Parts: sequence; structure tokens; C-alpha cells
Amino acid sequence: MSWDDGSHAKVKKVQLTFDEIIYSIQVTYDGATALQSQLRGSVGPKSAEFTLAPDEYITALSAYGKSLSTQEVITALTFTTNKTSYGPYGTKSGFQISAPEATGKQISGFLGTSGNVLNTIDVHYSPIPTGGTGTGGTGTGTGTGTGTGTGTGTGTGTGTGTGTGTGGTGTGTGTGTGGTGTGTGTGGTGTGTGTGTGTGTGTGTGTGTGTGGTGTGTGTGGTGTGTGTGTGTGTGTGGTGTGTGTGTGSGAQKLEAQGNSTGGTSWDDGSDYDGVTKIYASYGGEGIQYVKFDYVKGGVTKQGVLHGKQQSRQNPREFVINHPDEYLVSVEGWYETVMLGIQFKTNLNTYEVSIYPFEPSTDTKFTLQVQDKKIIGFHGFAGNHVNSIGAYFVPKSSTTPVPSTPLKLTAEGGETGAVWDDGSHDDVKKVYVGQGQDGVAAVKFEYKNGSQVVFGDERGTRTLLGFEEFELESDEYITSVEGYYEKNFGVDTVVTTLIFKTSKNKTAGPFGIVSGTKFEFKKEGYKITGFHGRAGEYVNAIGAYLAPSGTTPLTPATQSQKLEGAGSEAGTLWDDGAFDGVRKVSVGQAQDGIGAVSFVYDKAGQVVEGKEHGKPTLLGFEEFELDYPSEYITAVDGTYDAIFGNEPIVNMLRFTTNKRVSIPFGIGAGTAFEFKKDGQKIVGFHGRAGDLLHKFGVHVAPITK
Amino acid sequence: DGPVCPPSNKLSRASFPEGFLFGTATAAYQVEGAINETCRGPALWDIYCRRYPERCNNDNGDVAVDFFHRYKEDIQLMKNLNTDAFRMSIAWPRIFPHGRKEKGVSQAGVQFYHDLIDELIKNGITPFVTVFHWDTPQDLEDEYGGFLSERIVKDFREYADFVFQEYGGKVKHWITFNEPWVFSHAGYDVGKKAPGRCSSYVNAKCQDGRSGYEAYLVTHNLLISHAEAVEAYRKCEKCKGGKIGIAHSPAWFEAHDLADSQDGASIDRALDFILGWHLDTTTFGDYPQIMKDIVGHRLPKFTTEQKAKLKASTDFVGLNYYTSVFSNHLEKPDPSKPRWMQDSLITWESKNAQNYAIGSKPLTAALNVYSRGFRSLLKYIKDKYANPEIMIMENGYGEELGASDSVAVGTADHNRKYYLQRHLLSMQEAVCIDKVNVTGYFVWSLLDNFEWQDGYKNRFGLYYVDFKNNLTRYEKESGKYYKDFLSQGVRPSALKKDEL
Repeated sequence: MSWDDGSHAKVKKVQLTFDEIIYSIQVTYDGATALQSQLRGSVGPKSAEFTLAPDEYITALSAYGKSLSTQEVITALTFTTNKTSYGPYGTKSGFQISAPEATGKQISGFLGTSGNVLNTIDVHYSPIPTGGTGTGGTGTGTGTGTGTGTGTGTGTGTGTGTGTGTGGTGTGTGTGTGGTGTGTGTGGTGTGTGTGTGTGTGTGTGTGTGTGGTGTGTGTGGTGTGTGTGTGTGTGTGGTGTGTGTGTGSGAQKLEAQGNSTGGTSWDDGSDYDGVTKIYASYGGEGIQYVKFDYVKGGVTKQGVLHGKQQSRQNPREFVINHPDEYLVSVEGWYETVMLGIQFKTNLNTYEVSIYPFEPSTDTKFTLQVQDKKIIGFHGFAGNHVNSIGAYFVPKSSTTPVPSTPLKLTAEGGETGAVWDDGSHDDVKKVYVGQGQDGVAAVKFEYKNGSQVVFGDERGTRTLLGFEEFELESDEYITSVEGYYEKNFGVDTVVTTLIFKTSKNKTAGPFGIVSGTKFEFKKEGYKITGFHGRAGEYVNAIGAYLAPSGTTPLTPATQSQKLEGAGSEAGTLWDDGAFDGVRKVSVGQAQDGIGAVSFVYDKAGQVVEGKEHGKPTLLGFEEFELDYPSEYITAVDGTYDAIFGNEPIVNMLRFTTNKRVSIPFGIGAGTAFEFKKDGQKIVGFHGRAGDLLHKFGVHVAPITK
Repeated sequence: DGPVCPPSNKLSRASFPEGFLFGTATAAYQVEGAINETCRGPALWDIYCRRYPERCNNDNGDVAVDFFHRYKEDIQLMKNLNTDAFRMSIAWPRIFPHGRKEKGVSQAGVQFYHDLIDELIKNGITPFVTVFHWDTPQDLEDEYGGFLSERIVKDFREYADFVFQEYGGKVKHWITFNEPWVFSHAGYDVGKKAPGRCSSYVNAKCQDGRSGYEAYLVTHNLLISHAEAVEAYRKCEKCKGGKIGIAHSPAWFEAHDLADSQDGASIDRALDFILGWHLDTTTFGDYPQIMKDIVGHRLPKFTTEQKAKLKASTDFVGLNYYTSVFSNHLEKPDPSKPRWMQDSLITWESKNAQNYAIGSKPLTAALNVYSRGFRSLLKYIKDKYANPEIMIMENGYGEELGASDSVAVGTADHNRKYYLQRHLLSMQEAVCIDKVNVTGYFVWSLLDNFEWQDGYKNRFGLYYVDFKNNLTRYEKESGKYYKDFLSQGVRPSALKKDEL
């Protein structure tokens, strides 16, 4: 039977019975009347309960479930509150289901199905009450933020005018730093405005008033914490002029040269520039022969020096960068002994010089990129060829303000259904579309924010047809969404189909019958970063968030590298990505080879549990736990084989660390493989899996002390 | 009571009651070709497409998709789809080239169907056989006008009895007639299909015929022929344990204007005309009263003996479902221009009074996609006809790809995949929620084929046939879906081996 406790003020107490699986759950809620739910399920061998403090709320629920031949069962439950976590109760096995943390929300009720045991569970969210529960009021702090910065502006007239502004008083919790603006101009009366943005969440605004001219300056403030707004007024003299102020910030960030730094001699163009205006480069038979850059500083172009050597056989290339609207966001390169190819990416274009495209089996690839920063200088090593290249980064907002809020495109479709909004994220990771009898019944999206994966809620009402899925690769993003909606007899206007196109020229879908009114979300130089719309029994409307495609790093500026996997192309792709290190390895066997793997990683001291890939059997998992961080994996070897009745599968994996060698997990036979790179450790895994593990590969990164 | 459905999280074979059969369907004229082999005599459609090439899209069934020669390979396609059953038809002129036994039996033709049926059974595919799928022997057309004459009754019984005796020991599911409504209405009232007869006020292309009269006569002879064939079948000793029925092809109807009570009331009438015409008669023994009232003297009458034979003359209701329409009641019929549609006192509308379509109709689609009508129709049959066993003999999606037609475009048939998903979902709700006793489902069709008046331009298959290149078959997206859908759960062949 299915049950639904509904949504309550908060959860007070949870009682569970379980052993290998969850037999029952019974929840007591707080509210006008303390309400205890029915016992959902039947009493099992073990029992546990916990009671929440008055100011404690369940914020997330993690569950494991399994399909038995007769029914679905929940095997384990873990409750996370704003103070601690309870569980796991039961025994984690099967697939993971989660009701993730939602900002400012608590889990205020449960629903699900149960018979003799708990079969499924889901949750209601509601806002965490503020002050209403009588547990101390919510404090609002007031802070004062002052600060200074300098800004320069150039006017079109002659003469000089100076405007100074000081940050005023801000409210909030923290300090913001305003800016000082300097404007130049002649004649008349002018006003200079300086805006300072504090890092963290502090905002300071400074206004400078000048006499005799108008100057507008934008400045970036220093460090601020909390939220604060400050306004200040200054005076200045001068003529008419509009200027753009530059706030003082930290010096440029230097990323070390990548490539083969044992060859050639060191060169450094420095970082005292506003931007790069032109790239010169050439390649010959062996690699990139030279690079040369023109920079700009204060409106004046500065020609750089040629690094490398001009030779008789060459293929010179020149790329003009339209400063300041266009700026460099990243450099990607690949090399063996010398640089073989370099790709310069701006916010608008990609420029490439190479003797041949990146070849994963022989070449090493790197990316120089820092989130929200642009490149204003280069350095590296060069001799007869370019051996390596590094770059200087400064915040890109210092001269070219990028809209910090993404574009929200109006939802297309009908006016019925409830409004939903996933918000905007760094990237879309995975798309789920489910059909119903009259059109798209449900959608669900997974997003990426930094290294975090955000699970969007299910929108609409899923039918027995389930979901069709589409997962993007780690360096892939959605460039456009196309769809149709239609109003037919007996149903509200519904979205009938969705089609997704990606940066790798892939098309996913059509998901649904192509019929009705067409719409498209697309903008040159932008990518899709979120979805919103309307939904009820069906998805009635859908809209998208767009953000410039160059603003977030596609691959982090670390030096991790993905090594091509070994095995076959059966199953579907999975990729955990690269982390700081590996904490635990779990390998599960099936009848013909490895059925499933999962890994626990570490990222900046945080334990990250990877997903299960493949399908576990009754044989369960064998585990190999590392003494992190002193122990790390240096090599993985194994075998894959074509076995009757299956696509070729990985049948054995063995892990070598700096301290020991694991047992072989599985029966090794067939083709052997090994992943190992000198001076590097293994920091992540990827592969392909269906019911079995068909392919396996690794991410490596330099061993750091 | 009623069907027992296993609990299910994702729609697949495993969401249906144990033993539910899934298959694909074809018909002899649309797939076989080889019209001059096995001493086959000419069929109605052979001559029709020669006489009026423009009414067959300048195509014909001479080669069709060469199933006659490729059936063994095609049976492997059925296996690849994980299907349990296959619906085929026997070409009457391949058995009796001249229509009657006394004029000769083609032993080679008889042997062909033995070989085909044996090959199916050998591969674990249950054969469902249609006795008549529109290919009347042309000699009978020439001699007495085919189904326009009551002389067809004796000849049909002789032919049907022959195939029952010949194949009834191994074929346990029989369909006497495919889509009697289409055969009578399209062939004799609007002239869309062979023999292309109607009055000129209905269709100027018709050179002969009489709308509003002949269709009733043809159905009358067809129903009596059915009753005679069923009597022969039930007397056939080796046929014991088998089932026989008719494959009906109704649309479902929704009221054109819900605010107009006459539109609402017209739905039952529309269903009586399109379905009750044949299903009332073979269930209760006579035409629906509303048809007698409206059609009057133009509707022939059954004798008491005929009524007795017609009553309960099927073991199951075969149902071909494709689409639905809006029913708009007709205020002023014109008695000087009778026709079946007008007799039902409605017009068929593709949009309702609020200008909404009944379902999505993609640009290349032949018909609107309305799966909720499928469930409604199943529930209606359950309630009105005392909960009979129902088998879905056809369900599918036709599309004309036009200039873009190619292997790549044709196999990327996402719309067909979703059409199947929606209708399987709708059927699952009918079976598991409404408890309608549906026991089988056939997709029309296994592969693209000769689609009557549309020739080869209208594709229905789970396999694409490359008509430009040696009729090569390619699996479509829809085929992959059906295969995956059927890969879960338990195949009925694993359950009921002892029944055969």
C-alpha cells in the first residue's frame, strides 16, 4: 500500500526496525498536535529510534534500495539534520536514492509504499521555520564597512578632474570595501561613480562627485565578508569625461609553465598588461616553432618578443583578439618533447595552432585556466621550439564586466501547472525525460557546481514509461535546447518533445513525439546552465538559464590527466572525475567477471562517495581501504576478455599503492592492461558499464608532498 | 477478479499478466510478392493496381517485400525482437488459384504455408492466421462480383474449411476476416480501396458502384460467410482447442462539442455503425437497432437460421486500433445522396469546437496519436459485450517521409517508438486498472510493406525496408525499443509449452 504522512511543522521522532533491509518506519511529527504516523511496514528484528531537538531539522535523507524478484525494498536509511546525522540503519546495498539537501528547506514529512517491509520512501520539503518554534530568535547583525580602492578613468576631453569617494556604512554582517575613483576630464561639472565588489558576499558602493565634468568609474574593492553596502560621496574637478576605473586587487596569479620544461630556456613576458591583443604562432614538422604575443596597457599596444625560432618551413598564424570585448580565458596544449598543439580560448572564439590534434595514446595534455580570471601575460620555455607555456591571470571583471546573473529565458509552453525553477548552475550534467500518453510527463536534471553535483527535483509526474537519460561528458555542455509544445483535446498545453544539442556536436533526442509549436533556447557564445518551467501531471512549459560558455572552467586548472581506458565499448559511459586522492576501492564480482565497482575519494579533506557503476550481484563487494593520505594508488593493472554471451568485460582489477599491492579482484584472463605514469598518482576512475563492467580507466595527477 | 498484473516500476512485458502474447503482424498481399509463383491466381488487388495505377501510388504487390522468398530470414527478425507470435494471412488465390476447389488446388501454394508455419513453430513463434485479408480471387470478382454476391458464401466456406483442415492441427488462432468495416466502407462506399466502387457524388474517381447500398450488401455477405466458416471450424476435429474471431478496426470517438448534448449522444451511434455493425451481429446475432432504424430497406435482413449461426460466432474480439476522431452530429442528411458516413448522422472532425486536435499529429504522420482512445475503446468493449477476451491484432504508426526518406531518416523513427510506448501504457492501464481481458498485442507491422492505396510511401514497420537497394531490412529505433520492452519478464512460450 502507498501512504503519505503529509507535510508537518517538523519531524520530532523517527522509529525504525530493520536488519538487512528496513522493515518499518514510524514518524512522530511536531505541530499543533504532536502526531504519530501509523507503523509503515511490519516490525523487524532490530530497532532504533532518535528524537530531534526543538531546533533540529532533518535536511536530507539518503536511502539504498534494491529490486527483489517480488518487490522493491529499502535496504538502508541515513538521516541528516542541521546538527548531525543518524544512521545508516539497515545494510547499504543496491542502488542509492537520495532526497538531497535543499537550501533553507527541511524534510517535513514522509511518503512511500510498504507491505510487510518498507518498499519505497520519498519526502516532503518545507521551509525551515524562522523563530516560530520558540528556540531563540534569528539575529541580524549590522556591520560597518569602509575601505579604499583606486580607480582611473579616461575622458574624451582635455584637462583633469579628480573625484574621490569613500565607502560608507553598510548593513549586514561583515565589512565591505568601497572604492576611490579618479576621473579625468575638462570643463563643466561631473560625477564619478565607483562601485566596489567585495569578495565573499560583501558589496560596497562608493560614489564620487566631481566638479566640471562627468566621470564614471567602476572599481573592484578588496576583501569583504558578510553582506554590506556602503555609499560614499567625493568631489573632483575636471571636464567632461567618462572613465572606467580599475580597482586595486591582488597581483596577477601565475600558473606554472606546462609542457616539457627540461628543454629550451626560460622566457617571461611579465604580467603588467591589461590584456592580450594579438597572438602569433607557427608550427613545422616537429611541433610549435614559436609564439609571440602583443599586449595592451593603458590603451597602448606593446609588441612582445618571439619565443622559439623562425625557421624556413613554417606555417605562421596570427590571431587578433578584439580587446577589451574579447579576452583570453584559457590555454590548452599537448606535447611530447616539444609542444605539438596549442589552443587559445577567448570568451568568444577558439584559436588553434597544431601539427596534429591531441592523440591520447602518446600526448600529454594540459589546461591553463582559472575560474573568473583572464590571461594577461605569458611565460615559458623555448629553444628551437616552444617547450612549455604558462600564463598570468587576473580577475576578468576588472575591465570587462561580465553579467554575474545568467540570462533567464521565458518558459515556452502552457500556463497551467505549478511553476518550478532549478536555478542556474555551472553546467548541466545529466538530463532525464519521461513520456506520458499526451507528451512529456516528467523531466529531471543533474547539475554541476564546482566539483559538487546538484540533483534537481523531478518535475511533472513520471509514468510507467520511466525516464530516458542523457549524460554529458565532463568537458561537454548544452548549447541549445529545442522543443515543441501543443494543446490537444482533453489535456492542457504540454511539452511534446525535447531535443538537446551539445558542444561536442551531439544531439540527444528527440525525447517525445515531434508535433506542435516549435521553440528553441540558444544564444551564440552561451551555454544552458539551468531549467525552469511549469509542471503538474505533465511538463506544461520549460525555460532555460543561459550563461557565457567561457566563464567557468570546463576542466579545472589542476594538472590531472585522463588516461584512455581498456576494455570494450559496451554499456554506458561513467566518469567519477579527478579528486585529490582515493580512500577506498570496492569491487563486486558477477558470474562472468566484474559486475560493479565503486570508489570513495577525498577532495580538500572531504570524503566524496562515488556512485556505483555496473550492477552488483548477490556476491556483494570486496573492499580495499587505503591509509589516506599517506598511502596512494600508483598503478592499476587488470585484464579484460570476451566471454560467451557478453560483450568483452573487465574480469580482474589489481591496485598498487606506494606501500603494497592489493589482491587481484577477479579471475584474470584475456588481454592484460596497466595504468601507470611516473611521478603521478591515480586520483579518479572512469569506464563503461551496464550489467557488467566493460571498460576501465583512470585519472592521474602529479604526486605532491 | 480479472487479469492479474505484477507490480511494476517500469513498463515492460513484465508489467502484463503472465502468458500475455506479444507479436508483429503482416498480410499476404502486403508482404509476399511472388504473385506468379506456386501457380497463384490473380487477386483483386493485382488487377485493381494494374487498372488504376494512380489509385495504388503507381505501386503494386508484384514483389512487395519478397517475404515469400525471405520468410526464413524475416522469422529471425521476429526472434531478434523477442516476440512470441506472428500474425500472417493466407492468400486465397495461392490455395485455389481460381477461387474454387473444383477448378484446382495449388499444392505448391499449400506447401508454402506449411513451410512458413512450420518454420515459425520451429523458432518458438506462435502463428496467428487470417483467412481473408482482402485478396479475393479475381476470377470470383469476374464471375459474380466477389462479395457483392451471396454466391461468395459457399465459396468462402469451402476455402476456409480447406485451410482449417490443412493447418488447423498446428494453428490455434484464426481470424476469418480482417477489418470488415474498412473492406466494405473503403472498397464499396468511398472507393478508396479495391475494388474502388462508389457513387460519383462521393468520389469522382469511381467508375461504378452505389454508395449507401453496396457496403451494406458486402458486409451482409461477409458476415454470413464468417458464420459459415466458424461452423466449419467448430466441426473440424483437428482444430479442437483453437480460437477464432474477426479483426475489427474501429476508431474511438470523442464529442466534437461537449456543450452540445447531441454530439455526446452521437458517440454511441458512431460506435454502433463502425463496430456494432459487425460485432453486435457476431455477438448478439443481428445488426444494431439504430442501424436498422436509420438505414431501413437498404440494410439487408438475416434469416432466423443465419441469426442463430451468427450469434456468439467468435471466441475472442480481435481489435485493430490506430486513431480516434471527434464526432459532430449531422443536422440535415441529404436522402438523395446516401452513404455510410451520412447514415451514421455524424461527420468526422479532426479538431473539436475549441479547435483542438484529438492528439499530436507529427508532420510526417498519417493519423493523430491518441492513446487514451485505445483504453476507452477497450473499456467500452468490455462493458458492452460482456467482458470478452480481446486480442489487439494491430496497432502501429504510419509515416510518409517524402523526399527525406532514407535508411538513416527511416530508422531514426523516434515518433513510432513513442507511439508504441504510449499505446502499451494505455493498454497496461486498460488491463491492470480497468481489468479488460486483453491477452495479446501485435504491432503493425514487422516491416515496411505495401500499404494499399499509398503503395510503398507510407511506412509502418519496426524494420525499415530499403526499396532502392534489394529490399534490405534495417532495424529501426522502434524495433530496438520493442525488443528491449520484451526482453524483460517471462516469455509465454516458457509457460505454456504443453498447450500446443
